[in-house]
Amino acid sequence: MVGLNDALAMFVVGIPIVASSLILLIVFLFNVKKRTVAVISLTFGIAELIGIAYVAYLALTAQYSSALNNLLIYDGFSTVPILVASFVLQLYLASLYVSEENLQMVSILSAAGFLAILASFLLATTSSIALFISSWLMLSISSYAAVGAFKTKETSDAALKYAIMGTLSTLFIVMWLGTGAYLPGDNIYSSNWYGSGKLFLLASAFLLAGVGFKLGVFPFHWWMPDVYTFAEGRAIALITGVAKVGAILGFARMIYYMFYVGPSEQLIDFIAVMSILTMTFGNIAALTTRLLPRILAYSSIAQVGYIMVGIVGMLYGASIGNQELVYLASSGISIQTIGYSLAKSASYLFSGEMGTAAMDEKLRGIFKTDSISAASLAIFLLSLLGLPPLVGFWGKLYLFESAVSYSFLLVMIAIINSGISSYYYGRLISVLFSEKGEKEGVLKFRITYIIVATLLFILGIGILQVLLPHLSIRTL
Amino acid sequence: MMDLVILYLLAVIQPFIFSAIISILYSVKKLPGYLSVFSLIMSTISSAYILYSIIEKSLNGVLSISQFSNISFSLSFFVDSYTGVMMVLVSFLSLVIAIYSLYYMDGDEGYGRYFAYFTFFVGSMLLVVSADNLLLLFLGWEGTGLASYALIGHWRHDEKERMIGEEGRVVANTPMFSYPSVSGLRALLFTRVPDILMLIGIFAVYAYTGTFEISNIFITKAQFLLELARTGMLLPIMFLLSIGALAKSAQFPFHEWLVTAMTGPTPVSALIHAATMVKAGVYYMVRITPIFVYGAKELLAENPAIGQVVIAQVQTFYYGLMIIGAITAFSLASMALVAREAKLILAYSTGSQLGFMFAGIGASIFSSMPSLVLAFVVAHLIAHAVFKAGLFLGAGIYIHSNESRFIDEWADVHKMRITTSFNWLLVLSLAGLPPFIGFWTKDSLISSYLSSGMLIPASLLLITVLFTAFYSTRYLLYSHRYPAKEEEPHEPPVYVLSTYGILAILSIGLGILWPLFGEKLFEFLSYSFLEPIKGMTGEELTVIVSSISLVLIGILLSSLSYQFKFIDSKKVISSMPELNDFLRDRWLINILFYNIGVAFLKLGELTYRFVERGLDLGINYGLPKLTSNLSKYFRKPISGDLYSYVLYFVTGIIIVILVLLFI
Repeated sequence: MVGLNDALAMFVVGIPIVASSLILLIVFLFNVKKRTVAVISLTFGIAELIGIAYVAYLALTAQYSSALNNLLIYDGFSTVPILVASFVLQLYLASLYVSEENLQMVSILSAAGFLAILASFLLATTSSIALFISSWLMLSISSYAAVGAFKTKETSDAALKYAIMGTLSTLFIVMWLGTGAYLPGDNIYSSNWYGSGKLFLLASAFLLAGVGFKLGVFPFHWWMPDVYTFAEGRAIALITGVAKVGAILGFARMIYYMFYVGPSEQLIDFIAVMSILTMTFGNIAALTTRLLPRILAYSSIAQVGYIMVGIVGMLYGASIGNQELVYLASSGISIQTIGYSLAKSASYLFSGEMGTAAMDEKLRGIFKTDSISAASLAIFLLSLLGLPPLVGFWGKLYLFESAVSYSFLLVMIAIINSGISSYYYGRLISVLFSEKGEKEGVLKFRITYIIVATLLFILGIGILQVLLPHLSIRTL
Repeated sequence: MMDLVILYLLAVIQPFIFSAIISILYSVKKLPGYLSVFSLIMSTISSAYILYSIIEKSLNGVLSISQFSNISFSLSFFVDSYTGVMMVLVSFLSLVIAIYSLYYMDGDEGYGRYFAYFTFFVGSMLLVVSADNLLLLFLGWEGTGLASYALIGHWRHDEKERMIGEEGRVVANTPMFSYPSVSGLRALLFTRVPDILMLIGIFAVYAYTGTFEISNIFITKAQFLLELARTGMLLPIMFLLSIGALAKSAQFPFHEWLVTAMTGPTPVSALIHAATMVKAGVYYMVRITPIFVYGAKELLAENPAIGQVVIAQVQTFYYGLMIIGAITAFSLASMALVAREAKLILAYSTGSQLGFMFAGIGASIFSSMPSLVLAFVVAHLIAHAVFKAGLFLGAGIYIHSNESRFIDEWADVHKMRITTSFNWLLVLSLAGLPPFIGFWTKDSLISSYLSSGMLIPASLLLITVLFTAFYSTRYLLYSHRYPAKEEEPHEPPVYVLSTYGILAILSIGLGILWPLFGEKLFEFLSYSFLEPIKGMTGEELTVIVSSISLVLIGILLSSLSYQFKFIDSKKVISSMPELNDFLRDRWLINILFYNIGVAFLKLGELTYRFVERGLDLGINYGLPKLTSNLSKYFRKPISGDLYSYVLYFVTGIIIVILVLLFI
């Protein structure tokens, strides 16, 4: 008997598969117009959005629910950010049809987008190890496809780096399996299988290396500034806005359930140190960079550092048996991911419009020719900086708050890091609003920018606070 | 209760709002003055109605407007006789002074600024006299400090005619004169440093009692003193709580700021001396004194062993307060004997009268009825406020019409019949001649000094009574004997005359009616000081006789020198130049403070040279350079070379595993 939840899950999983295959097929086999492709992909995209919205609705009303024999866990923690990611996907698809003439490219990028949302959805919700790994591969492949679709020298170089480093990191995920993660069963939290603490730590290290690569956790982040700088802006918008959402949420869920089975003080301390290194590296390195996408890349690394502060809070809550702390921390991760997905993807779209590897000087005086887009970019950056009442502020607030009881020092360092980051965000904004400028005309994606900026504001002035009690991870 | 809330908002908070409105509309001609007067009229009416309600319904409690559950800060105000009387006094006198200012400040460059600060000043003072919450009181307290700084330094261009003291008079490398901008800063610094100690004291009280509300401390006062005595903190905390008041009320040796504060416009002096600022210190000391005086008594009854110790310590402290008051009264009165500047004479007399009040507060502990003595202090505060406001307003007219601040450069002031008549009423009140109000209140205080049995302060204060009678009459008689010009001075417009006219009539009228209502006033006030008085014993005749005779001797001496010309005061002065110089140089206290200031400047220079410049270099050059290099160093591994990335990645994972497994 197929229940509502199962049917819904199959719908949400099926749509992207059908959509990506269909788009690729009709573009490569038949001579169709761009409009047809646009209609098909937006229709499927909206159907996917509705499906995920319904999943999120179920998760929020019932607090938790599950599908496919507990293979997928629906909780507010994962479904709401994925809903935002699927919305970002619509913006991404729309931007493709506005800006790209080459139909084959459009089809590849659209298909990559659909696969990315599918992989993200599965990663974020699953507790099955097998599904986690297969979705991980799908996520990686769709990301390579998006980066590699553009055929310039720089983007090819970036795609190659991305692929090689990705393969390397996937190796570590396989090694994670090798520690025996799979032995007691497919479900990550099925039973206590880590006999010795050392084995658990080894498993954590492998998982951290494998997933941390994608997130940009120090010291696995080396590829990131290069790839984010030289790849096409829209591809990075897809990665940061859609793919990374699944990676963050999946990582948080896996490490939390794993930890729940084999708690270890050492791991918490270790992740705390990694988070400090990650955000400090990101923020310091961003200070002197003059390339716009590179600044954004370093800031991405720093943002992951903040999210890891929340992971520390969550694990600490689990280790001392404080459920409230777990709720707070996981909601913080969820909100921060939402803010990250919106602000970062839109910023990369913006950066892409300035050209590949654009200098920050290219932003000079944009507010005179397109003040709305300039103001929107300022809002993205301010949200990343964490200015109230934008989404980024609430994310950081809850993340940092959750870690206070673990270590006040960690939170102080995180706050100091936020302070440091205000320098490069502030510099970008001041360039944006400076008097002199030679730009003409309005930007292509200004509608997208306006929508995202409005969302960042509106979500921050009440909606997230209302949702907050429902955004927590499903505890065991 | 709701009515009271609205009344308190109208009386206390409303001036702040008007101050803000005035600062927005500062440039509109004449409007700031009218707005300010209007605001103060509202405040006065509300205060009067509050006082009426308090008398009518015999209210004696606290009004709490809002209570935040998780922070112990509440907007709570006193609703009792003391606060009611003080609010009426402050708002009424400020109103009178504001009306006078309309004339006096007309055409001034900073007209709007003046009235914005003026209204703010009054609002702050009303907050001080009404707040139950110590933090709220402190807020008002600092507000008066800020406003006084701005108003004392009102004439910011430092013109010569705005200064105080004799230009170029330098003693021991210390200038004995001051300009407005310096005076404003001095007032701020002299009160700010003790204020910090006071704030520490307030938080210490919170640490001991868990509350900022004076009314709550009243309830647990014995417990509070017990805790303080056990931890040995009684004297330090009393010191911390009082030091701010001593500085605010210009007690020796903090009186210097009050003297130089004379650089402000004359109505500002009237405001500072009569209604606000210096009275805040007295108000506050009287307000907190019951905690210690009655707390010690209560403790003595509960726990005689520790009560003995506590009461001894409290008595020591209050004896010290009495000594300070007596020294202040005596020293400033002695300076007033030889002062040449009209406003300086009045300033010295203010400090001296405040000394009387502080001595009274100190004497309260030795009395069998402390609350009665505190009521005497408040009565004298009221009397002094009334006649001192009038005197300053009158001095403003003299200075204006003679274009000089020195009384020896004035034409015979007796040619201005109306103004001088009014001023005589005020001066005689200051001198303490019966039946003026100043006589009655000073007389009550003197009886409390004498009954305290403290010989040294009491005798100092008695001599000061004589001094006061002398210098106050000298103030008006001087120009009769040594008129400098022969021209006809002009009387100001009627509405200006009426301002100090009202105050003069009040000071004699209240004095005549005193036997009818004086005791009732004391009884009414004593309700606020934890021990209501019912029926008083009559005053001792010896006190009245001795005080009247001292006053009469003082007036006689001054009349002999300046009216009947039997003694030539200039000859007397020239026969003892050292004493004259010592008094004119304000007992040389200024040298001490000036050199402290200079030492701080030197210290500042050193800090600048060795710390500030280093920091400057470090922050503006070193730090950016460092971060920039650090940033570049951090980015060095990201060279675009895939091989190194793989190397770093693998090295990274190996380090991670090693760290996790072996540390």
